[in-house]
Amino acid sequence: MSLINKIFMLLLVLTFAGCNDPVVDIEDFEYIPKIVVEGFIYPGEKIDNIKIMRNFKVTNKADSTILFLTPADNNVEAFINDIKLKFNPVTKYYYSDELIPDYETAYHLEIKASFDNINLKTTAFTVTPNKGFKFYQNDLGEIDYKSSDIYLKFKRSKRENEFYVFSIVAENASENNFIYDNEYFPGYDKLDVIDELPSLAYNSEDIRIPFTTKEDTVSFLLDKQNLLFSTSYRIIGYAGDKNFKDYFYTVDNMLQLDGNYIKPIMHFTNDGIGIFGSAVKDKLTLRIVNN
Amino acid sequence: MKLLGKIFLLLTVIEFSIQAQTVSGFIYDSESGESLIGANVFIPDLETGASTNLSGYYVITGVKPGTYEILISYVGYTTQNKKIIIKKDQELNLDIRLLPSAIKTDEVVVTDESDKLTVNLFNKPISKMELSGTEINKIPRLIEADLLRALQTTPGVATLNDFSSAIYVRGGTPDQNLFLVDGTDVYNPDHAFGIFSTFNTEAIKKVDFHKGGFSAEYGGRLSSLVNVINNDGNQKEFKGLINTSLIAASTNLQIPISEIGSVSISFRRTLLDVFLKNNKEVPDYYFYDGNVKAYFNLGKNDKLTLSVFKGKDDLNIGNKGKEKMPRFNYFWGNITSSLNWKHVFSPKLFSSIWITSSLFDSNFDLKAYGIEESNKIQDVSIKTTFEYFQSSNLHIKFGGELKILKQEFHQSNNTTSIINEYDGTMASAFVTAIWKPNVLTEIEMGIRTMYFNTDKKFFTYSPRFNIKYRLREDVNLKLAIGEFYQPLHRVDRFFFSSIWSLSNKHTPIASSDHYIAGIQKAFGEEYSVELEGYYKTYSDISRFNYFIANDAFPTSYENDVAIYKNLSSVFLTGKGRSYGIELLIRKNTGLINGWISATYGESKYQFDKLNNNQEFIPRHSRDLTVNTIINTNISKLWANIFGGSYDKNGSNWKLNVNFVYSTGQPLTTVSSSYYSQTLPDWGNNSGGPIPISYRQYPGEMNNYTLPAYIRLDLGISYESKLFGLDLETFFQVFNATGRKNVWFISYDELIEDGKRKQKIDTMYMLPMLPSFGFRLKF
Repeated sequence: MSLINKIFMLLLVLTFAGCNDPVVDIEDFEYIPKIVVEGFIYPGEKIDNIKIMRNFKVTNKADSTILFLTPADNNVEAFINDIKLKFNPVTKYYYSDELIPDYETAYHLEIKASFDNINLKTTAFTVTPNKGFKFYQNDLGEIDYKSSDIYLKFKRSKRENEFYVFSIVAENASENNFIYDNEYFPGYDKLDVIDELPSLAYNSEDIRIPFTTKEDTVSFLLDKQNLLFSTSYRIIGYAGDKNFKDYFYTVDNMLQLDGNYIKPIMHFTNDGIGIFGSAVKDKLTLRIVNN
Repeated sequence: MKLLGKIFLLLTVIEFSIQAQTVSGFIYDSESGESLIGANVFIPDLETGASTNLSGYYVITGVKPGTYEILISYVGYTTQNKKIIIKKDQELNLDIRLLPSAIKTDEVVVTDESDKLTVNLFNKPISKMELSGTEINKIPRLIEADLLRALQTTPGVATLNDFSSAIYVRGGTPDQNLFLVDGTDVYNPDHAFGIFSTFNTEAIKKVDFHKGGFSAEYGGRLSSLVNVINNDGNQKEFKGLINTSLIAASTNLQIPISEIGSVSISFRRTLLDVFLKNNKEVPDYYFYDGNVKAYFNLGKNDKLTLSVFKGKDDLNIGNKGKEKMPRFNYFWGNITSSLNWKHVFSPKLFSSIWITSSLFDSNFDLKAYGIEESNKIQDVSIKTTFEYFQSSNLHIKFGGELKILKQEFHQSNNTTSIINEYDGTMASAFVTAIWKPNVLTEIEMGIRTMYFNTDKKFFTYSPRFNIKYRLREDVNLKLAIGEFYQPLHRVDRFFFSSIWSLSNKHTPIASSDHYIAGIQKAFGEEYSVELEGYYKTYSDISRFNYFIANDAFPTSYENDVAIYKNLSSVFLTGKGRSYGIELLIRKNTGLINGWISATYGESKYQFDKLNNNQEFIPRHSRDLTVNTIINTNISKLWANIFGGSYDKNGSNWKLNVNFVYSTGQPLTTVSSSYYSQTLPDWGNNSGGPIPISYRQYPGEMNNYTLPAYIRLDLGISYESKLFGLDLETFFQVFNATGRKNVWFISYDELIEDGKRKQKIDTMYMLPMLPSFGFRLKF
């Protein structure tokens, strides 16, 4: 057989091989068990809401009955600064009666647990922000949606990596108290609102302040796109630490422009993912009306 | 590398005696007057010769007085045999015009030693591929013939997907490729969001593609050099060409200017916006590019060329009366110009001086959301290269370049303004010597220095070493080692144009070391086999920091708008290495010709903050890539197999095949799912809805390999006459088997029995795409 014929034969074989459509099987994806932590601590407040959970293989149904890791079922041992955390079987959160975090202090979390017949461990630490952050007014009263701009005026916790996030939650939000004549979602009807109720009711805004900024007070303009219900709003401001900031900006930002995933920044060693962060927080309320 | 520098200095102080005259001149195409690059001139009696440089100039030194036969040859041209008389104290200037003859034949005719395939292989620098405009047009295409897609078929070049014409050379990224068009840097060689390149193949005379280890004459990029030389234009008679495809029409006109020169004008424009003007579903989009090159022959010793290029892409969405759609305008393009003066100071000293300017800018606005962006890089340069032909054994090149660079990026919305602006000055100088200590060996040693200044000063020097050795008459060994630096960095954005940034106090100059070894063997006069191994290291390379929104802090606030200026966190800095083996089996002539290339390689990168600072395989890394290009004349093949007549100047059917196999691209998959709220208080809302906190967590970076990429492209063309003019009608099928090559995957949430799990949707690359068109030459 001449070389040319051999090349044609090779091409023919490869071409037929190429006719089969390729298949990507999600079952082939590697599952890596992780301890999932959702834990925030606040200076001056008891530690009472550290969630220690597990992750699931992506093809497995997430089972809420085994979601939370418990000392009884998963041999969980959790410590903050060597103080053992207790488990509340009702809330399924871990807490401590002994530890009240202070400002500008390092707290070291250490967890051991087992599930799927694997022993896992992780550590993380947070440094609580310094004192200072506080709203000047904790109740802004009733505000007409169509009135002038709404500002949040607060005192800073001056520090490096100075970051604030405001959780803006519409309490009792429903399709009945949605402001339909808003400028952002002009064509929305009740069904649209029902479909997207959580994302319309829960919003956040954030601000980062350069370390060189001299002013102690900041007036932050709220975006009315986040105030679309005629109802009471609770706004909780967090002056978060670096862990809080990194988690907030990256946890939902994993899909790159080319369709590939990238890991969020989470600051856990070994087998941990999630958030162990700290913040100085303050609360503010207001009521939106649409006259 | 220090040792290389010492050897180089030693070499340059060696003196060579001059005892004889020179024969020098330019070699031209006799029909068009175009200078011929790489033509061979050989004096058999003296067993000495030379090849023409990029300007078509040659010098043979050491010719003692006497009468000689001189042979001038070039692939596709009739070899000329001339008698020359060299007199004492007289330099012979001999300009030669070769007659194109072999173009219509399939056979190779070797007329002298210098024309042998093995000699041509030896003369070719390591890791270099040469392509002509004609060869690029032969390769089956994705609708339009395209230089970068042609380069994608060569060994050592990887592609990311069907939608991108970008080339990843030996593990490097596209920003590490230096694109020169008539001596001018081109910064963003993309049209149509990267699907096509800006190079109009109808204007191209020759492309030199260096995949690594290139001479000290070139610098400023880490991986490769794509040196595009456009046609000067026909100096004898008016010639023209019209080409149409499904999406674009192009033309090339070549016009003589009296007796002194010529003009070559090329223009291409897409026509979809014209044909689909009334279709409100399709946004307004077009691109065009145009090139004008004027050539002036100012005498035996002076040639002047002026080249201007302009290309533009323009996208408008929401302009066709779809009121619900916000208006989005986006346009981008390159404008380049160069003035090149070639001067022969003496037969042994040839110079080329360029004054160039290159501007790339892109702009978009989405006024409904207050979003605007402008992006620009501007480069004004003066550079010069001198070639001194000291003797038949020593050829020295030296020169310098001064670049003034300006880079601006502004992006703003109602709350944020991002500004990235740098002015830079780059001054480079190089010297390189090509020394032939004996007939079997050629050594090139050079050094390139660079001074770069933005808000920080940098100084680099790059030694380069290259050796060729003829092991046997038909076997060559080659080795190259070099150090390369790059003071520009690019933010690659999938849909929007890339942003260039200059090295500064936050982003260092990147560097790369190349180690390349190769062996070449000629089998007769038709087949050649080249095997090369490479190892590259990278230091201080840059990659866009995808978490810039997290890492960046505003520099100030103005009217509630956060200003981010010259951020330190735009790029992540890292290092890496690439290694691999490439095989190229090439058959340049004959009834069936083309090449088969195979590359087995791997790249590993490591960046701060990525993949827990661990090494990872980048997405463009492919273990194995095989490309096959086959061209044949079906009419002649038919006549050969089944008998019958065949008229080489008559109507002909031609077949072009491109087959690609490569291992699939690495991908980061989701490894698990978990629950976690975005903010601490979001799990508590009595009486209201609670947001779903179900999330996915990615596995190790690029740990999964997608299924293999396989594609077969076919092109059939029919060459005939129309009113005495040459007409080529072509029909092309991209992805002829219709294979669904995987582009990427997306995840969908599935709820079964009230519990959540994941399923995947597969996104595919281009399906089977037929296209047709014609080329008419007049």
